[in-house]
Amino acid sequence: MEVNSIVEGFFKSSANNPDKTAIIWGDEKVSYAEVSDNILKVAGFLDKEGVSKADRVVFYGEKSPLFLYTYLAIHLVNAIAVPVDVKLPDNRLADLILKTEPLIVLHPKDIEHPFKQVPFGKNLLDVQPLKNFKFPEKETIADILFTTGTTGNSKGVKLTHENILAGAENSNIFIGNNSSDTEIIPLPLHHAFGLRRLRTNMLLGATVVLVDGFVRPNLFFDAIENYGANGICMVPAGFSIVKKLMKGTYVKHFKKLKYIEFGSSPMENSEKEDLAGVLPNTRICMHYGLTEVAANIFIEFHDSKLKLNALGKPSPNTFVGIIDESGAMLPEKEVGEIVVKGGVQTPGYWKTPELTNDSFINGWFKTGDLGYADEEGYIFLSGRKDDVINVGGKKVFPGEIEMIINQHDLVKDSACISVKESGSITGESIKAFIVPVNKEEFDVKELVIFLRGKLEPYKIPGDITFISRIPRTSSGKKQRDKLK
Amino acid sequence: MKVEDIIREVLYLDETTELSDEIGPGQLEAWDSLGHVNIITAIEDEYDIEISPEEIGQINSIAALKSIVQKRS
Repeated sequence: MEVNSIVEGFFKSSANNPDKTAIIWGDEKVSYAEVSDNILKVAGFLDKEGVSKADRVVFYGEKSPLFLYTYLAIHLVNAIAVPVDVKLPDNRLADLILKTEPLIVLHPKDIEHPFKQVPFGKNLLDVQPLKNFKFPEKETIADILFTTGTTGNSKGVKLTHENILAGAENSNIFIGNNSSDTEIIPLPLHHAFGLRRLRTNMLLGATVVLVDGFVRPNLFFDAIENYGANGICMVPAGFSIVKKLMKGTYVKHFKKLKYIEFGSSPMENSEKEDLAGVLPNTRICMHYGLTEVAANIFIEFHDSKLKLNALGKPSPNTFVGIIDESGAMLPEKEVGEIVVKGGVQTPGYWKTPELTNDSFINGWFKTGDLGYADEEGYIFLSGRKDDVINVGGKKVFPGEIEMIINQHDLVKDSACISVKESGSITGESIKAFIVPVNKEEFDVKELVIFLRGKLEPYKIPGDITFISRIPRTSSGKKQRDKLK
Repeated sequence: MKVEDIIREVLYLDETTELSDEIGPGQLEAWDSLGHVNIITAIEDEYDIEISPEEIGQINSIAALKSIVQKRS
């Protein structure tokens, strides 16, 4: 299907198969025709508000059909979608709004900012549908997705319609999705992985079943048995929760799956082997990816059973290289920085040209991850260039947490490190070392409560330890390695 | 220890956070899927019971959790 955007692909799927179910959410089933009508209504609302080409629309990343209508309506009016985490603390939400200078904010919370805001709800559908529109061009910006930056400031990744189309098409080719599939999406929709899966399925004309996280994995089983769901996307931490809560009962249901896409964080080899063993007929795919370059490497557990410790091979239509400090390509087996090129590649970061400049070399995007390639073209991960912590698939930079911890009156200094825990649910967790003003007066529980509301829940350290001083270099740089 | 006290301790909730019977997973910021696993594990340890996958599927509120604990202890 030759289209220039996901929204164009969606309307083509809708014209071909209007009665087909596009989205299932609880007891609600919405057909392609109904989703199309609702997209046109939200687009009518946005048009009435004066939203047009390149305007930013910040909106609540709630998991619901309304998210889909709003997301594609923003694209339909050629504006830029900025979905935000529903758990984003107020101060961070305000910061993100100020950074993107949106024409309108669609959010249920009253946040102080100088831009127009309306609630995110059914009110967006109480308008005349948009009648005249032109689908967006490939090269225009579709989304700005925020990810954590090394300094603690979040960075807005710009993605064009071409980028998000390529991300959807490449993963379809690898996984083998088609329009008759029904996929369970338990992941948040504001996040690059969950959003890509939503786009991918909508482009194909497939069905998605939205499930709110991993708290009640029995809902996955219900979707498989009642709706014939045959695909699911998960992070390894989510799968660990399923196993922990549902024990071995998941196998008989998951055996019916045609595919699983894992991503966002590493999984232990033994777990990959076990899974491949109990699900012999399921295509178990795992991607390596970043918001900036989508899922750019894939592995399938059965096909690559002798190389399960690898990230995999470059995704279809994607090039992956290993470079040295000067930017020169390295031969096989030599460790360097993993770089990516292809249709998925972001044009850069929102209003931060210096960061954009630092992130590219000779047309390649620098991932910040270290790795090497073997003689068969498999890419292996060796480590990170920075101190990033991957908590169950969500990347966290220590500097960001330390900045907030240091705001506490009883903290003199702090440093956060990653603790890798074999067999744990999140794989890595955050350990904070605190230099207290007064150890006797310090209450760890009170610090956790202080951090809540200022940081997303997954960024709150699970282990807090006192230390007399944080090791630093002579130039004052924290030596987090010495704390490991 | 009461079910509410276990939840309060596991999720690091302060005394002002109300824990009524209707509250369930996903309704408090800290009661996410990981928090849920930690609550189930703490309850199983405290009452020396094993909550079955079928029962876990029914836990949508503190009341439901209490009812399972009551039946099993």
